Amino acid sequence: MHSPRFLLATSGSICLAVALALAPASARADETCQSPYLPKITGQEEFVYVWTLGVEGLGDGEDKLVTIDARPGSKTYGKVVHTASVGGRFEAHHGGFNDDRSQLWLGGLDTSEIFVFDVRTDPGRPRLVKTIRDFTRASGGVVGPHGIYALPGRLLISGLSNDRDHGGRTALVEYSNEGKHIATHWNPTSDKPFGAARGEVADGYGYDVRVLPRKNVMLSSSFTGWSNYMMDFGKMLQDPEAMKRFGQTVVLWNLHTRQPREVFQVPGAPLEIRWALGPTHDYAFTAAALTSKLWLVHVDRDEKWHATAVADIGDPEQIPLPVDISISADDRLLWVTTFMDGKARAFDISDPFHPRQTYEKEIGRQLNMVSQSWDGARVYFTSSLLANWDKKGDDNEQFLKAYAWNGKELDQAFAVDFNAEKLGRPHLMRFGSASLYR
Amino acid sequence: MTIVAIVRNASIALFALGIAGGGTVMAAVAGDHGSAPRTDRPELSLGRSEQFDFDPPEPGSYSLPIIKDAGDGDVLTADGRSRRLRDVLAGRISLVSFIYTSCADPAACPLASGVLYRIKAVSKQDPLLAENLRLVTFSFDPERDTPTVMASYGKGLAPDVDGAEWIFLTTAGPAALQPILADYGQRVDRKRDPDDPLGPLAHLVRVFLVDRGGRLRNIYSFDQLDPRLVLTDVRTLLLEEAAVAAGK
Amino acid sequence: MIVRPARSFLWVAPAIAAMAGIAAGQAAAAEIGAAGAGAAGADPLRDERAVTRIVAGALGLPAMAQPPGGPPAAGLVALGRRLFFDRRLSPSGTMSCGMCHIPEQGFTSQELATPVGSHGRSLRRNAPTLLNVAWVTPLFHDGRAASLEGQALSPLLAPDEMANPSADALVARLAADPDMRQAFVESGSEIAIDAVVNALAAWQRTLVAGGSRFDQWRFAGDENALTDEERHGFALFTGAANCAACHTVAPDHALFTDLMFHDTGIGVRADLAAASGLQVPVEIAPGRTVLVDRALVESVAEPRASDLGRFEVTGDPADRHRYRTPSLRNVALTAPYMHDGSLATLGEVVRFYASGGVPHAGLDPRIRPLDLAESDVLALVAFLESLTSPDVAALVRDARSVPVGNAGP
Repeated sequence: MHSPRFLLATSGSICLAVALALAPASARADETCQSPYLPKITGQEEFVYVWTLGVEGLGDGEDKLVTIDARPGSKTYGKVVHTASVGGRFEAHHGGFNDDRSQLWLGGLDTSEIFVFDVRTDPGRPRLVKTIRDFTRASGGVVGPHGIYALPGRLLISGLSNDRDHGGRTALVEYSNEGKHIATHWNPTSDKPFGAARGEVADGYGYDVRVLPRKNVMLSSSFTGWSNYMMDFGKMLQDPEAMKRFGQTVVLWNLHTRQPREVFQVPGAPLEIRWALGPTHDYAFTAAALTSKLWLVHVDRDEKWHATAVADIGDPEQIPLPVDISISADDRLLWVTTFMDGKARAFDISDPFHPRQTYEKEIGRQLNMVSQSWDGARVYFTSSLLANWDKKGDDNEQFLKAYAWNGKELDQAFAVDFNAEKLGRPHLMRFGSASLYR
Repeated sequence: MTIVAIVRNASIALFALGIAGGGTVMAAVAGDHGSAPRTDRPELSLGRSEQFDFDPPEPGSYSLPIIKDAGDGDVLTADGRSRRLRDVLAGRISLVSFIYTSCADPAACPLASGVLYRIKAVSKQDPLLAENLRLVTFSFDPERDTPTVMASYGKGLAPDVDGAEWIFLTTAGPAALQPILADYGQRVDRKRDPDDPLGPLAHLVRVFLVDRGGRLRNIYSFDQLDPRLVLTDVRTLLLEEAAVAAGK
Repeated sequence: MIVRPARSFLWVAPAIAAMAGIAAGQAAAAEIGAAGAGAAGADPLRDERAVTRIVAGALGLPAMAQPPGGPPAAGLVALGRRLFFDRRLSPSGTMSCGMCHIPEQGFTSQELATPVGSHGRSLRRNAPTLLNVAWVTPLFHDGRAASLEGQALSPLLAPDEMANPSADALVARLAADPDMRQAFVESGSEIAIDAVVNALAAWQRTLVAGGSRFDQWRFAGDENALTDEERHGFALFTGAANCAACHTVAPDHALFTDLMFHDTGIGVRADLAAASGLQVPVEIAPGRTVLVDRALVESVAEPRASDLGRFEVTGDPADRHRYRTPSLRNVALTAPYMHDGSLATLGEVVRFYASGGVPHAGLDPRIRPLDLAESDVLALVAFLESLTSPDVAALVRDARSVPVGNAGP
């Protein structure tokens, strides 16, 4: 670490400290999985925001942002302290903060609305301040705003689909913090690779996007289009044509120019991307959902980038379907959640080329997102994948569960039953704290 | 390897000059405004660092979409004159850095001013930059940062007129300041602890690239404030202007 | 790679990109979005040419039965095209006609066995192509609509398709948009449901795609238009394989459909598979298929809806599992096949029939095991591939001359 020194002004004089070189590199980082441009909650998170899909006939039936009190000792610890419904069902899914963390942007995958919440004025009571309803028109045809990622003064939104065929060809879309469309960058495809190396395997799908400013690169991953993610999961598994329409690539981009540099073949829908957090750890993990494989994207001494399969997750023949991953702040542990068997798995990634599973626990009958506190001591899980992909009948448990992690065991701290509380299907989690704004 | 310079009583004392590469910045080849694309880029001799471990892209190999029209408002120049911000920014490509002079967080205002300082140094080697670029340091602390204070601050950083123009702005008070900050999206908060050793104001580091037509073209925070990258953007705008001119 | 919205101005990227030699990629990308479509839209004669297609028809197709009142006005065609691709036709703003009848995919969907409607609802039957739809009557796989005008309302109002609560609600939503009001004015129509369905039908009738190599050979005397293999395929088609018993060919034209209803066994096959308890093959990555327990698939599946075909319209037990014969024109562009999209390739379809369909009590007697050599199968496929019209690309351009309609200011 750097140790900057500076002198304070003597009385009556102007003191100017000019750092001509570098200040400390900010931590690049669920609290460990955020944009590097964000202020981080490195202590106790106070609130967990849960972007929740409405269910027809359950409560008000609307998508909503649910706020859960995570302050130990609070009278309402582990309880829902606020809900903000957004007026309909839009396939609530993912989202993210802007770069000063005053706003939480949340996307609807079906109808492409984006809901902007003020989480700064009263972090315990997020307030809907803006709804962007013309995302598809403004972006020139992008459908399904998915990952929303803070860049300086703007948000980078990875789409999932398009308005011409509801397939997987899509784009990265930039919006200003004020909610204005800035630019649309279509993902490379084999017929339009935009100069990317190995462009002949580019497939144009989108999912996550994450940056590593130190190397001026960003990575995007690839899922599937509207027709598939909106479809009944069982119907899709039995439709061979639909199963052919999943992304098989990870794309390395030039962060500054937003131009694709290179396409990597990562078969079976690579979803979440997590860059390591160490200041010189120039590698990222991603998990391919359908093939249940952990992949490492890394750079060698000649500055050549590679994507390497480094571990299986469960038994790929059973399609456990890894859907989320969360990296610890010290780059030693990776949580992997699998939807079909409802399990959380801990991988030791101290040697990123040889991840080793060290722990697993069944959290519920279905499981999707995982978020951990900065110190890794608290781990949160939610259950819902997509409205039409979740399990049916008794298997359709809907919950947020909070655990303490001591390095060996997950111990449940509290749970919120989203069915019993008539809230809906809990999906993305983000942490809030008033300490960010003091 | 953090290098810190102290300015006291408007005299600048550089403990060390953090320009990497250890050497002379290459003399730039003079060129007329609007001439063919340049290949020499003196800023490249600054080289890589741990924070910016990459080679910047070629100017003009990418686009800088228009984010919006840059904000306007009443400002005070360092000689105390009242002007409109858009008028101040007219005629050149501007890098606008919002700071307050009593900021003691080395990763914040001093960093931004340091980057502008290095850009000014590079611009002395390149007439294209010297003629077309303007650096603007704009205080969001009008109560303390009066025109007189800004003038002193400016003398410390830019005692000479060589290279790119560097001007120092403040406002008559919060009423004039707030709309400008809101327009630019520069958030500034008072810290709970006014005696915080790093300074009383909480803010993100933000530098804005404004084109000659007054439109916001890029926003830099800590992780982009690489002088090589910023100047690549400036050159991209110069090439864009040349292309537009050629098209007319 | 940057696409600006159509209304943007002062966008100088093309100029600078050209300087840097990167123009090709960025310009190409503009075709993807609405901005590109708008830019390609300046063709004053497009609508007149479309009407001409209705009147003139195409080689190999019989004269089109004109709707009452004669060929539509060009303005109505333009309105229909615009409505067809406007996703605001559905209350959720996601489903237009064009989301399932995708121009680049043969005016059907090549990516799904059966479509997905509003909010992801499952549909039972494969989206049919709209190429040459003017000659199809009755419409739908079960023949429940007599005309294109009558057909159009059904998907607009079906809760699992575009899910409009009523025709009036749809009209009110369209009328709330100033641009849409202007489009109706320009077409010479009042904003009313009749105008909506008339316009949709008018444009769809212009999707005429004949003049294939087969047509050149059969109806224009070009002996060299087909290869020996394709001619052999046609001989089997009308001869030993007897495909033409239902996919009819007349002396002076060929619709390749008798427009009648038949039970091929595909309907009962789906029921049999669901009841079999067999594992489900799932392709998890290209070339990598795993067998998944049916119980796992069913844990994430809504119960399969039954489909009784023509019976659902007539109530006649003899019509159970019967579906209308589709035309085979442009069939190479319209995979997957059969009323439920359950066969992926033309080869699979030919082999399905060659094996005698799915034997059961209701099987159409014209379907029986055939003694075909592999070379015969390939010849039949080659013949079917000769039925593709050279005009399809122009029809795709016509379709994409309007931007996709989306919600917005």
